[in-house]
Formats: sequence, C-alpha cells, structure tokens
Amino acid sequence: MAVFASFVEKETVIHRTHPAVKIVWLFFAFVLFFVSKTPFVPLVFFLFVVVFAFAGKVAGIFLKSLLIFILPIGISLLIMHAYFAPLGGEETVEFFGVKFYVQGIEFSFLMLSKICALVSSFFLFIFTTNPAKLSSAFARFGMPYKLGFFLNAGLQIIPLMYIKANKVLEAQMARGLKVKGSLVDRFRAYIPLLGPVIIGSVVETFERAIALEVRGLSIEGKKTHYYVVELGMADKALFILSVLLNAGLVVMAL
Amino acid sequence: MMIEIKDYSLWAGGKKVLDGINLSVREGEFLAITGPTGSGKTELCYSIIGIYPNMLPCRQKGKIKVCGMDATKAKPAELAMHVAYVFQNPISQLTGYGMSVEEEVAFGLENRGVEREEMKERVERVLKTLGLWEVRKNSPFELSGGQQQKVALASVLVLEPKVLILDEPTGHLDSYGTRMVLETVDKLREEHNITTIFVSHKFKEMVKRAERVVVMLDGRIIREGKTRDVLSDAEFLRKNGMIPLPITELSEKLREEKRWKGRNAVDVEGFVARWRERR
Repeated sequence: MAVFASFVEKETVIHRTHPAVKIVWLFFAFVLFFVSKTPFVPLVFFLFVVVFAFAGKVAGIFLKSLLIFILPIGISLLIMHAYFAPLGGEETVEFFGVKFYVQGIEFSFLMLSKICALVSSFFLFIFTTNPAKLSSAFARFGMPYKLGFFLNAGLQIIPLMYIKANKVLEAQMARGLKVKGSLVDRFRAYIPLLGPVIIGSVVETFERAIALEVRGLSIEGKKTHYYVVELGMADKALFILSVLLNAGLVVMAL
Repeated sequence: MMIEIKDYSLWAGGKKVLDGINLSVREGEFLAITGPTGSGKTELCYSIIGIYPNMLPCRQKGKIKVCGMDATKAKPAELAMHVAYVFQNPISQLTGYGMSVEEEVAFGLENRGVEREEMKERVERVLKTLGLWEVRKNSPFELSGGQQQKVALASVLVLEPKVLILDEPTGHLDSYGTRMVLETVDKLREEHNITTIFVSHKFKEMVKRAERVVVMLDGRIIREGKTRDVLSDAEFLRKNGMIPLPITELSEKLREEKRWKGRNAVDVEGFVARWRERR
C-alpha cells in the first residue's frame, strides 16, 4: 500500500541512486524557482522528473499526489492573476464571455511551471528515498546522528498524519459521518476530522518521545546504521552529470 | 533483586501521585500490577524507567534501584540498557524512523552503536522469535494492532533487556490482537526468563502468568500477594473499585447457595476440575 507522501519500496535504479544525486535535483528545483524567467525551463526540468518517476515505478502515486497538490494551486493562481489581474495589463482575451488578462495568464503559467518543478522533485525524492538509508547517507557526510534523525522524522510527519487522518475518518464513518457528495459536502465532512487528528498527534508525540528515549536515542557515543549507503562510481558520475545538466538549465532560465 | 523500591514517593502536577511505595522484584519473576485508573500504576512505571524526573517535572523521595542503578538519578537512555518498556498504544511507540518493520526494530541497536553484522543477526533472531519475519519488509503502520504491538515488543526485546515492563499492552487491542500479544509474552517468558512487570486491569490475563499481584489505589500499594489469593478476594476487589472475574463471582454465588465449599475460583479450568472432583 502506497501512503501519500511516503517512501515506496521498489527495486529500481532510481531507488538505488544515492540520495545525494536526488538532493542535487531538489536543490536546482529551488534555484529554478527563484531565477527562472521563462516557464519553458522549469517545464523541461519537470519532464525529466516525470521520466525518473516512471523509471522508478512510482508514476501512479507520483502523478496522483502531484495532481492533488498542484490542481488547487493552479486553479487559484489562474483565477487570481488572469481574472483579477493584480499585476494589471492592457491585453485581454475572452473565454465564454469572461475577460482574462494575458499578462496574468503568462504569470500564472510561469509560477505553475516553477511549482511543478519544485513539488515534483520533492515527491520523487520522498517516494524513491528510503528514510533509513537517507539518515545513513547523511551520517557518511558527517551529519550528526540526531540531526539526521530529526530531518528524517520531519519527512515522516505528512505520511504519519495521513495514516492517522485515515484512521479517524474510518472511525467517524463507522459512526455515520457522510464523506461522499459534492465538493462542499466533502469539505464539510472533513472539518470534524481536524480536531482528533491534531490533538491525537500532540498526545502521541509525548509517548513517541518516551519510546525514543527508552530505545536510547540520547545515549552518547558511537552510532551505527542498519544500512551502509556508499557513494559509488556510478553515483559520482550521476552526481556530476546532474550538476552539469541542471547548471545548464539554470543558465537557460536566466 | 532486579528492582528494589524503598519508601518511594512522587509529587507531580502539584499533587502526590505515589505514596511510600515499597516493592521488590526478583530475577525472572512475573509480577502483575493492577488497580483502578489513576491509581498510580503508570507513574510507578515511569519512575522505574527514569521518565520521572528526566522528562516530566516532579519531586521524589525514597529510592528505586533497577539492576543496581539509581533510577531516581539515571537517564532513561542509561536505564534502557537494562529495562524495556512497552505501553498501551502500539502506534505511538513506533518511532516512524524506519519504513519497514526491520528498520524500526534496528533503531535501538543503531543508537547503541551495535556493529552492522551483529545488528542484522539480532534483528533476524527477534523477528523470527516473534513471528514477524514474513512481514519484515512491510511498513509497521500497515500492520494490525496486534502485529504493531509485537513490533513494539520486538523493538525493545532486540536490546536484550533484563527487565520488561508491559504497561497495559493489550489495552488498545481486540481479542485476536490480545491473544497474539499474550502468546508472545508467554513464549518470551518460557524461552528467556525475562523479569516481567505486567500492568493491567484485566485479571484474566494475569491469572496464569503472574506469580504475584500488587494492587494500587490512590498512589499506594494496598495489597500484595499471590495472584490466586488476591484475585479470589472478591470483596476486597469490589471494595476498592475493581470488578472480580466472572468465574470468581460465580463461585462466590454458588458458595452463598451452599453448592460450593471451596474458596473463590480465579480460572475456569481449575474451577471445573475441582467441581468434578467434588461431585
């Protein structure tokens, strides 16, 4: 079962690739977000990531998660900039009798392309990188064990909240909560879930802190790792190739 | 003695939650602790594993020695070298650190710096012992409640503790999950002779397992004795807000009607055998 925003175990070259290579893509997605003046380059970047998602056999959950995340942002961006036009502009086009500002449409597409690049690289990273191996890789680069653990735990927050929300949803449905119907009905049905999910998570945090302590998180001294993640020759080559390719994209985007 | 508590009192949240506790647990013993909600069972466990005073503000008086260590001063991580703790909610014990059962179980060994080869061996051994080997690659969050509790057990047992504290380990489980966890506890007891403290409201779970029962009320130990003696005293249990086992109430009723001469029963098999014997 694939969980939203969580690692998906597969045996593929993308999964085997060292996390550092994937971090390069994540880093350049951030760079493109801030420097790109054209939607073309982030879209090319995005297409690369989609290809990687297919190669990593996570395309289904990847595209689904992307759609859930991007669609509402895309629609609101388009309405905000193309219709209300906070940036102003003279040129307009009409669709079904409604006037839209061309400059607003262009800006929406630019922003959307950047968001697509950023979010897709993040999802690819999450879906294809085993958190335990990520911690091990961090440790190899000299990151303190606890810091690696907390970064790792941070990445787990969304999937854990998702699992908890599903459990609460099932419990509420068993007590007669209707979660089907129009978009408004669905939205209304999800509001009562927020309390139990958030409060429940806070309560669990204390017990989880105890669980971490009794399993020795605070023990001082040498730490080891269940996995050994080495930066092999192929990874080094991919790392350099990724840096060069992405640097080229950044130059094109300026 | 594995655990020795002398005149121990604890103040937390502005009130006295434990009052003059005296308790000894010997090596290999299976001790049950029971009592109504709010009687101080969990606070006693937290004191033994060092959560008080390290993670929760409190004032303490008296002594707690766990495997020779002073639990009122030692850090939970130090005490964790000897004492394992499993609590009610299986979900909150999963650290979420690992995406698979084996990674979750290995977490404690990583913290102790156990070498990778030994770590692999120990993880494999404990997963096989608890019947989790087949699901080692699964996410612990996808498992049933009973299996999740077994993962929680595996995660602490892999550390090879001398003392195992089970704080209402079946409280969140259905009957299938409960059976699964209790069978595992029985197996561990048979194979490893671990000193076990079993905190529970469910008398049925203690009857065949615990040699001794400690009853707590309002932060004090109000009775300590052989399991059979304590749990068969229906009047005492009722007087202190607990409900005796159905079989205890049945044998009590039969005695009132002069159809049963023996003392109150605590297990069905024993009662039936004695009933047949007398007829």
